Amino acid sequence: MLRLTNIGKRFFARERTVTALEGMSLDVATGELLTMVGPSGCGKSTILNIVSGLMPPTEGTVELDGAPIHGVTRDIGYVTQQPNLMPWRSLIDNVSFPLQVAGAARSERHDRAAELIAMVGLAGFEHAYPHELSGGMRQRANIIRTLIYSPKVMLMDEPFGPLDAQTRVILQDQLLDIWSRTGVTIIFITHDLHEAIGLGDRVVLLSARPGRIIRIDEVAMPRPRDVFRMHDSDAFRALYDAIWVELERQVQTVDKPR
Amino acid sequence: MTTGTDEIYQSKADHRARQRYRRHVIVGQIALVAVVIAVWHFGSGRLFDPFFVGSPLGVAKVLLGDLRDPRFWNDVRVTVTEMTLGYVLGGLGGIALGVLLARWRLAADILDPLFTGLNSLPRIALAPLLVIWFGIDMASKVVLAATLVFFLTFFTTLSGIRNVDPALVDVARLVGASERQIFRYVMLPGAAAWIINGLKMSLPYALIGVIVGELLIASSGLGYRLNSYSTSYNTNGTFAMLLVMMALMMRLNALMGLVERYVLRWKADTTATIQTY
Repeated sequence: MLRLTNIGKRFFARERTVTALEGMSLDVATGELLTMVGPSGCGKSTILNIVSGLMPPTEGTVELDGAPIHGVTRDIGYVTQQPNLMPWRSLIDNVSFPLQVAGAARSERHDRAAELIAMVGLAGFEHAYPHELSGGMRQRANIIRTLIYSPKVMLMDEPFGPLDAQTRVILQDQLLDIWSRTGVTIIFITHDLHEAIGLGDRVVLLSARPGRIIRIDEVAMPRPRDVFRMHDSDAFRALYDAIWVELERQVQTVDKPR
Repeated sequence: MTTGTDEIYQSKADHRARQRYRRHVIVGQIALVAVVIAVWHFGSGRLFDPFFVGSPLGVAKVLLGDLRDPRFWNDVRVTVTEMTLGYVLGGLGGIALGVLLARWRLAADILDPLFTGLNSLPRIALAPLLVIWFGIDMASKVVLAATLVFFLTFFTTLSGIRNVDPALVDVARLVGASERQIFRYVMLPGAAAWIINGLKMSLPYALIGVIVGELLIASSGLGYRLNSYSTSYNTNGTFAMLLVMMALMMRLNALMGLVERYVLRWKADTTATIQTY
């Protein structure tokens, strides 16, 4: 279980203190797919930066299976919004990079990477360089580069945000498939409520800055889900409307002039 | 799937049009050279004083004579050796210091005014001092070429490493890379384009440094040979040496282009690099 206890984060500029997060406590069950939505600027990325260990919290603790997290760890993977592939490495060398860092032999890491590449439908592109791949292909590579070293938790920061609508749904479908096969715990951040409900076991709604948890909803839709059609169901629409009322209020808070 | 060097055509006709265009360019270039040589040949003695411009045949005569002269080849050898040593020493030194200071911020900031000052100095003006320090033989030319190359590669290496995308460094850190691994797998390849560009830009400067050194004082080398032709008012010989230096530089640039293409083969377009002389 991943446990966040009373996480707060403040940034200090010369004469100003910005509170990005405040009093955030949350338990994420092992194997859960938790989604987070909130207006832009609600500190969504800050949460992931803290949980990943890239950034220390100002207060509070993050624990994974009872052990506190200080600094980065291979137990927690992070799929960023930008694919961040190394342009000088071919697809297979990008995907297998985490294994290379761990000292795996070339043939071993390439075998493992080739499996994952095939799993997300990129077979044939192993030796292409990132500039030769489409945005959706690069984002798939970003995801399997994290999967390849089997972290217990995978953090995802609006990974499908920059993609077109069709590619997006296809990748959502692939993600659910990967998740059900590997049993990895996922925290998935998005600003798209459809996506949050469609993918999540639970949806966490965050407030405008400073980011706080406003409500947590269980998504009572059966799995496996059909990401192509589920938006039509009554359960989906009811939950969507309930969360949207609150989200809309938060979005308007952000837009309001001070 | 395309690779970096492939060209994409809209149609067969488009392909043919581009081939035709390229042919026109080559024909035009050959014609230009022919016209210049013809004007030079027929104008020399009629339009211009051969004392100042020589003549194509005169230049060719000197060249053919020199190409059979072992002393000419010795001069080529001396110049190429000085240049190579200066280039390698300056290049390696620049890369090494660039890498070191990129990782050691405090030292870089302390030394910054010093480097800015030294870089503002017209380093060619160091030549007389270097002769006093290193004598009139090869050493002073090697050092002069090395100082010119050093600063260019140093600055490009430093900027290259500093400009590596921090997000890529985070990626490496997240998967557990050590500082050494981050340097080897992210910083160095990330800076490769800058470093190669620095090496490419500084190549002509290696030759400039050597030739200036040889012009000042020397007993062999292409610069020395150029100087002895010009001081004896042998215009044809002077032109001949300029042509030799030009040919030498073009060969070296072509070689560098191959190295660049290989090292940066992952790039979409490797031809768009800055050319300065």
